[in-house]
Amino acid sequence: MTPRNAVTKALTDKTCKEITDLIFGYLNDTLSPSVRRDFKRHLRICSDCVNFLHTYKKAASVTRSIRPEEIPLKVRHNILDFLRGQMRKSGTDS
Amino acid sequence: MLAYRSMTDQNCSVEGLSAMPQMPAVSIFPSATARLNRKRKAEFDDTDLIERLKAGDEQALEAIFNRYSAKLYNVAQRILGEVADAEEVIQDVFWTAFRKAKSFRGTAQFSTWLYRLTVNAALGKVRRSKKNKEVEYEDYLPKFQQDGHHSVRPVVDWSDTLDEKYAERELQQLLNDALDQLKPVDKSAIVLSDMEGMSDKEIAVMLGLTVSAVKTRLHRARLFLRGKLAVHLGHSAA
Repeated sequence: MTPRNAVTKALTDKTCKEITDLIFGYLNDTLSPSVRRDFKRHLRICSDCVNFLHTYKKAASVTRSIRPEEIPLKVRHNILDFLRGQMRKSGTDS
Repeated sequence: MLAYRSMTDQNCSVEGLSAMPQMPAVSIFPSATARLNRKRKAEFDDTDLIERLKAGDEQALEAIFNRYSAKLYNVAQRILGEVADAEEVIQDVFWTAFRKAKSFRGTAQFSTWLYRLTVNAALGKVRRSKKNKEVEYEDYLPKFQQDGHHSVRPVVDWSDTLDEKYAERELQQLLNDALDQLKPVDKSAIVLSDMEGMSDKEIAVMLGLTVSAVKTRLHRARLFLRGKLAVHLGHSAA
């Protein structure tokens, strides 16, 4: 353990790996108060984890910006034609 | 209905980090109230249509198709990656909805039932086709030293450079490609969570998983997507 790592560990009780595992709960506000406190305490002294958190949040926010796949008009018509045909057929059968 | 996850800039800020660049104020989760109101309205609007559907009313099926086809198509297309496959799934979903409407008891929300039919059909098709483009996650996940610290340091904050480096269309393409490489169940979870705004509990019901398993899959998928973006920007995924 490098001197810096030793200081980090002593001050926070959580490693970067443990912090990474907690990010999901932190962002969804499901961590217990004491774990949340440890999480924040670690981030106060670990710029690597702050940067990791920022990039994780960015990845999550751009994923939310993905545009939905639009249903092509032809596909829409094909499905509606199929459904109408099936309904007619089922009406005749019954 | 579960209270929806909320994340505001305020409760995500980290005190004592004035030296660190802060993320811009972005609310990435919709508010619980807005989401609940939308669901209640949809539920109310569906009731009459379901009754008509049970009576074999063809126009009710078309109305339901008009209401849900765009969203269900997006889910199917995202999971399957092929227009023809998505078309087949959506066609089967609506025909199944018409034939089995009488068995719908209303204990589940009608839209949930449709989503579940869609996800199950799409995942079943992916498993049969073996065409998926998933990659090993390991290369894009963070790595740690034995003592638990980041193995590649410093970790670079590229969050502000992403929008500068890529035009909107390029970024969409990059994200689509990365999404395509997720395992089908993980991709389903991300699409339902991030694009359809479902709660972890709803996704768990949809995918037949525990809520805890959904959270684990969503977290791992987001770590992978983060890693893909980092590598594209010339940084380490670690």
